[in-house]
Amino acid sequence: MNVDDAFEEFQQAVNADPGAVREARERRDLFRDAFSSETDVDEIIASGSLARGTQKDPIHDVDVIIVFDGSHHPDWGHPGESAAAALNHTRERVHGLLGSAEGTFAQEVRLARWRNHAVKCFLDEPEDPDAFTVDAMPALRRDGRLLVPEAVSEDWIACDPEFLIAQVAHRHATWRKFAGTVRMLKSWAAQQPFDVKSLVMEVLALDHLPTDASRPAALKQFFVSAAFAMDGGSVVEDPAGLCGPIQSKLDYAAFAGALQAARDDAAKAIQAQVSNDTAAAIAHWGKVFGADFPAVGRGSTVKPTAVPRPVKDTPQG
Amino acid sequence: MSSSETCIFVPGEAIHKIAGSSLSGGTLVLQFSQADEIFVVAAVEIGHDIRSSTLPSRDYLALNGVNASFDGQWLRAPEPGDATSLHLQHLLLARRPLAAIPIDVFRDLVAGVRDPGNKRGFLITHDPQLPPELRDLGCPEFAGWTIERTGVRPLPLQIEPECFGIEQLAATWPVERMSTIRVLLVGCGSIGSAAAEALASVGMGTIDLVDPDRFLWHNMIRHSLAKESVGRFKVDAMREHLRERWPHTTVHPHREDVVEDAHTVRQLFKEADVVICAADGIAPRRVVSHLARRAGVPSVLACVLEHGAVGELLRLRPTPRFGCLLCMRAALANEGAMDAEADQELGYGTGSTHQPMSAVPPDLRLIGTLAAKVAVATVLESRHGDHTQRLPGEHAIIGLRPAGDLAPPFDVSFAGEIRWSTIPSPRPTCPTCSPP
Repeated sequence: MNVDDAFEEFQQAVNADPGAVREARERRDLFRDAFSSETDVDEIIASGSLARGTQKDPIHDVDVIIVFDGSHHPDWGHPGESAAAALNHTRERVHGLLGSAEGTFAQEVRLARWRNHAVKCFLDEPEDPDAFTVDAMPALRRDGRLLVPEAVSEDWIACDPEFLIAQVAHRHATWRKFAGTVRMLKSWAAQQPFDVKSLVMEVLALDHLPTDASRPAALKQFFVSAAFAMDGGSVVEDPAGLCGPIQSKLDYAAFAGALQAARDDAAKAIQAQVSNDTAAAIAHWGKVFGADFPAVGRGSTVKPTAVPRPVKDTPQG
Repeated sequence: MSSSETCIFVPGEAIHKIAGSSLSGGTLVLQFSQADEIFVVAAVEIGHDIRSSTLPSRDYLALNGVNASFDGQWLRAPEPGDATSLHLQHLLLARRPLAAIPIDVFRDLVAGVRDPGNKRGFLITHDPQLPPELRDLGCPEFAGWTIERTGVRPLPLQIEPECFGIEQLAATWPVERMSTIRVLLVGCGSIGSAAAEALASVGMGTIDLVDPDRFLWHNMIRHSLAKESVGRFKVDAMREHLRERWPHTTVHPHREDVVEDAHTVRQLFKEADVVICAADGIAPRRVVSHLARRAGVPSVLACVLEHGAVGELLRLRPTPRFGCLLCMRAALANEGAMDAEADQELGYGTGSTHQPMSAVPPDLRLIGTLAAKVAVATVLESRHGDHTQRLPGEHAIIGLRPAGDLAPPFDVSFAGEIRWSTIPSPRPTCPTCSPP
């Protein structure tokens, strides 16, 4: 197994199950088709990691933004009760269109409950281990941005999820491995002993994951420059510049430390690859990505601890 | 094959003309410089009795220093039969000093070799069909020979390469990335000129030079510029100097004072990937620290202190963890490490814009080169994820002539010692570090 083979195998491990992806797309389409005939709905936008192609295994939810026509809801978009009203309206329409008992379009949604920004729709049986929800978020479009309700603050906030979708699509068009590599980074984050939101990694990838290198080189460059940025005390913010920090409670000191550790292992992996020591390279990448990364095969000569390389006496002046 | 031996310099033009000629051989004109003991191919016969000049440009002074001319010959190498390639024999002979091929044997190998008589003849053979495996062994496509009746011996050829700039290092240095980087260099004095040369020599794409001063006689002792530039604006003379040596770097001169013209220079900070300040005095450094922070660009401040006893490099990163120059200086003053009032401020308000420079030229060059290294490393690590360019900290003290009597962190004891440390966080009330 060479390093590329190892990454291909790791890619398969972090990718969401194709059957689950297919099911997620069908559920997205179900909501799009159901709401598209509503007279007060302008458009339905697929959002979240599924829309960006960065979903990793397992899929937890499918995000759908339902953009309502503001002229039908003139009281929406202002601070106060309209945030909850929009969520209530969305939940009622989910029930009306897709409720398992009374749905006029289909009978698929067993339960719908609203959260802070969206209505979480349960389609699976409670005991299903592969269950995932559809999160339907009401919105209004104003001045090229989306206004979405925030129940906790009883207000509406501006956001631009299409910006991130477009940015990821652009990167992926430049380098066909971009989205898959982001999944690897999200897998790395999921293994950390502290909470790192997937979206933090996606936004960091926009800034620090290059699109002109091989996958191992790109990942190494990501960890080096992302560690540099976090070491400086920078905060990961909404790339559209609207919503501020993505995870305000992130333990940035721990995050910077984890990135630095990954940086050092990734640098060793690259150096081992340069020295044609494939086994050592794979072993170092395994330290970065954990148990899901393919183990070095039997008969490997890799040593458990790296031995410093002696300097060759080839002086140049 | 040592480059100190007598050899033939073959300009690229001569190589192209020999390779492109429809003839199987022809004459050469070699010019000889006695002072340097070198031959230069000055003309090549490209058609029957048609000679074409191949001399390099006049910039190559030594290669144009002619004392005598000699006739030579070029021949297409024969197809190797069951014998080994002519150029493989050239390679093997070159490794055996004094070894030679008897002239009769050589003339049997290569048809058309002229009899040198009692003189020494010069021959260049060209083997366009040289197999890749022989090239890998080190066999040359073009081989030089001296022809004498006592034998034929290999003669080193120095062939002008297609590329002799930074592109040669593309396998080990991010040449393409460097060409996209833009550096703003404030101050083109002793340290600044050394930094500018270092930046251009690593393949920097664009350098903006900011300095309002003229190059004067007293600058010559430590500066990269020399007599021909006395009287000129430093930025203009430096642009010319850099363009001569490193033409791939774009240099923009700005005859401006970063303090007095801060309103116009500000835009340059926004366009830069990194800023270096090598200007004299406190005020320019403060302005650079402020404008770079506001522009969100890292800056490197380079200077010598204590009349050249120590050098100092500050890397200022516009992030929440790291403060600016004023934050750093305040912390040093609080620790009793720096006496900003007496030793620095007074000297600048009394009619002289800067302290008389008392450091020796190589020390200033060292600081300028190190400042460029820090700036380049910062961009490569932060923007391009280059793990080989990580720095040990943000603040470096370099021992130049240290007496060992300075307060920490300036208390280096040895010449050549470099001590790295970090810098403090922004002060809560800092006008530079606080959001505008």
